[in-house]
Amino acid sequence: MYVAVKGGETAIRNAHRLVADKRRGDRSVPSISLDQIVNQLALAVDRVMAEGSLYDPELAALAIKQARGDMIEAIFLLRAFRTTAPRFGFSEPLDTSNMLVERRISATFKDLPGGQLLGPTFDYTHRLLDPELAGDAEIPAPELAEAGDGVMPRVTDLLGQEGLIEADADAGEEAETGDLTREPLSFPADRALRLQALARGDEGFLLSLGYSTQRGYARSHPFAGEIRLGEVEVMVEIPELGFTVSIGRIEVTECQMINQFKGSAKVPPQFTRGYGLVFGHAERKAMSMALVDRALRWRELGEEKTAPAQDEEFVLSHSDNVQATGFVEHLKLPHYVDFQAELELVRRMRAKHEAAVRDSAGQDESKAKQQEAAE
Amino acid sequence: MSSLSYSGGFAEPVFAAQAAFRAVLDAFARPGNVISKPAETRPPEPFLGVTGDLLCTLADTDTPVFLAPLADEDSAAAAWLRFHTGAEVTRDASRAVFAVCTSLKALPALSQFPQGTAEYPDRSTTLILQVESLEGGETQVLLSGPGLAQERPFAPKGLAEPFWHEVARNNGQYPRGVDFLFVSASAIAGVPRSTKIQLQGA
Amino acid sequence: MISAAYNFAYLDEQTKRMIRRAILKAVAIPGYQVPFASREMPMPYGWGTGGVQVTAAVLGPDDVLKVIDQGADDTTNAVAIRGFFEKTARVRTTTATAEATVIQTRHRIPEEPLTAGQILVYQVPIPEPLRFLEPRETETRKMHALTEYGLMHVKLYEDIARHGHIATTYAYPVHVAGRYVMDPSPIPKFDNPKMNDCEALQLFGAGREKRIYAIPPHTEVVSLDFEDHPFRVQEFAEPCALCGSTGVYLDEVILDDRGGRMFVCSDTDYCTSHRPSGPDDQSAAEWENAR
Repeated sequence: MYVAVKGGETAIRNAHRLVADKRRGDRSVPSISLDQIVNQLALAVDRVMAEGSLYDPELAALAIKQARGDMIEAIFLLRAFRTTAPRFGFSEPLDTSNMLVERRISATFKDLPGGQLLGPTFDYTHRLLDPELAGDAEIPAPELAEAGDGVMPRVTDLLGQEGLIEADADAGEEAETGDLTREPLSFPADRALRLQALARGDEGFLLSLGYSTQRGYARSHPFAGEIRLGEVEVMVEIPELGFTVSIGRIEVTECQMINQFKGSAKVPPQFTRGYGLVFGHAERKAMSMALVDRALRWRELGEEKTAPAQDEEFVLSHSDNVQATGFVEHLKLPHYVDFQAELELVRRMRAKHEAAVRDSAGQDESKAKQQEAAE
Repeated sequence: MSSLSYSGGFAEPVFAAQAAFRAVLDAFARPGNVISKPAETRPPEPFLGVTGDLLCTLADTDTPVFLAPLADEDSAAAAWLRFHTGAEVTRDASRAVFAVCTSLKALPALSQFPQGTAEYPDRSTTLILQVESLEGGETQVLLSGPGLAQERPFAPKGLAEPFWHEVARNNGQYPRGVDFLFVSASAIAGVPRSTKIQLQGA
Repeated sequence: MISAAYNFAYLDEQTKRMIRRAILKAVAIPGYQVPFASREMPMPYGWGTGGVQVTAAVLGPDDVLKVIDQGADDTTNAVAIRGFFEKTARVRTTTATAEATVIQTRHRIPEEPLTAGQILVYQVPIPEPLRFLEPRETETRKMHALTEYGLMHVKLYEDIARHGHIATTYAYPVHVAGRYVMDPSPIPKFDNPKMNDCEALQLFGAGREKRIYAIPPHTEVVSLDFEDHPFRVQEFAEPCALCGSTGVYLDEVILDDRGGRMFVCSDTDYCTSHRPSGPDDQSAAEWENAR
């Protein structure tokens, strides 16, 4: 029987033992190492770090291994670990213009200071399965250029010099940035909080929403102003020292989307922005995030709200895949108390219905008999 | 800052805070019920030990604490509070998550504290009031409402009618309003905003 | 690589303080849903994370914990959650309702009346009673602020018009202390009357939805109804097949594919202690065999 009234403990223990066995699989195949996952499934590791909101490739790899490759399960494992980690402070905003760039492309200018840098990308590969990869073929070393002098201005900064694009929102010195993980989200949420939610939001959910804006559900005429991938320094202010120090570098993907221009009697027309920033190499996520960020800014930009991607409460309440998977999957838990309540009601209503049908049939019969008698 | 500021915290923070929280929970769940609570902390004047316990249990960097009478930044009490809880000592009543009143004369009008909003009534101050004793006061009020099977008399020392009028006014704007914790040297009692206050003889 | 040294009852002290502050406001405003910064827990959202966080914030070394799901101590999720606290808090656990100081529950209130020393912690999936009428938090929050509960009555009345009775059988909305309409979590409406004027403190935790709410002891809790359609609880035609109790909530157990079924207590502790000759009773053994 499905719910053991007794023996739940044994059942759970045995199930966990079985999943451990399945995870390991055929013992004659070597166990996969965390190094192998970090190195050879790097994009999976990046996704788990991004949506798990914890930058730690080794832990992400462990989570992927433990979850048998189930990404959302791995993200969940990382999140549950993250919660218990003590908080020592907050970083300063990342300065992505000082990024050690590995890839940088702009769809808006043919050439620009710092140039286009294709970097490691699937773009322009032919999606043909490569049988060589089934084995351990020798892979030639890459062609690498010397790192430039580090200055690679952002496309939006270049446009901004001419006032052609809205300025980056300035929160001001005194403004306090909310923290999604410390304060429950309330609506309306400001842009900083929305971006936090999107940064850890489910890639698939954001992809679909971003896609929907392109298809006319809150169209925003996006241009990929710039996508850049590389390492940035994380600076933290140490109150005891009174200055900021670097605590290391992390890899991030940034997408600056340039959208629908807008002007008014007071302000000459200028382009608007959508922004995406994600841990690791995650272009699809960064681009989707930028599209959704732009759609969510309808109020501030005086646009009409017509589409799901603009609906802040809908988007932010459903973008977290750890929440979503928990609640969808909780339907597996026993619900027989509630179901019994429904069952009792439906049975009672059916009995009433049958009685009513019987009564009216009886009445019809007696009517017919009366008629017969009258004839 | 005196050395006093660094000592006198919970000896066993995890369990002491849990026990103190349960006492406060019980106090709010059964308004006016005097719950014995031995002091674990040894804070400087004018805090009572039990006040110190409650602050160490509930206050932290997320909860600005207002002190009445206003305390200097470098007073022993403010320094102790900052060191043991991380809480900011604010001089602005409208930012107070907790307010500690050690002298009733110095208590600002209750309306100066956050009352919560109609949509978020929880965003209001919890007031910790030190009294000489939770029983035997000259003014007695009758409490009723959630948590009380029947009316309960409540008469902490040193709280006269005008104070109770203000509490009644506060509780009259339910669900908005501040909540009260009364503290003596060895006991606590709570009067949340949901409690109806009836002045005896009134 | 990682040394797993967790705090007492898993949560760090700062998180406990945040939850404790929310619980106190919840008790001060009965039936009002206090937002709290719910943490990711090592079990999935929707599987009791709210209840677990509330229990972890409340629990102390002297407590005796009972965990039930669907009224039973032995259902898999109850076993998992009880195991979690045995491991992280090393508290004493029990299946006996009367012995417990803290009871975490999903979908039931024990049959045995609760007492003054006890705290009942409910796991809540959707804390907002108006959610199915209005999915937007921004709107429902306004409705609570303005005591605009007409929509709920309209919904219940539509049931009556369509089906001849109110068709809500579980998570049946209640009015708390004359102010807030509250979701009692998906307990069968059979259990609703037990919430009214209850001796114990009742706490509700919704982890995924980040809400905590409470009913203090001796608080008026009224199930919504109409003069011409008063609130009624489920009645079972037969007594429990194992212990013979009546006036308790029963689970239907299907015995075969020829319509054979029996009804047994959903509250396993109550059932065990009410069997004429204890748990080794003939019919119980027969039933176990039948399975």
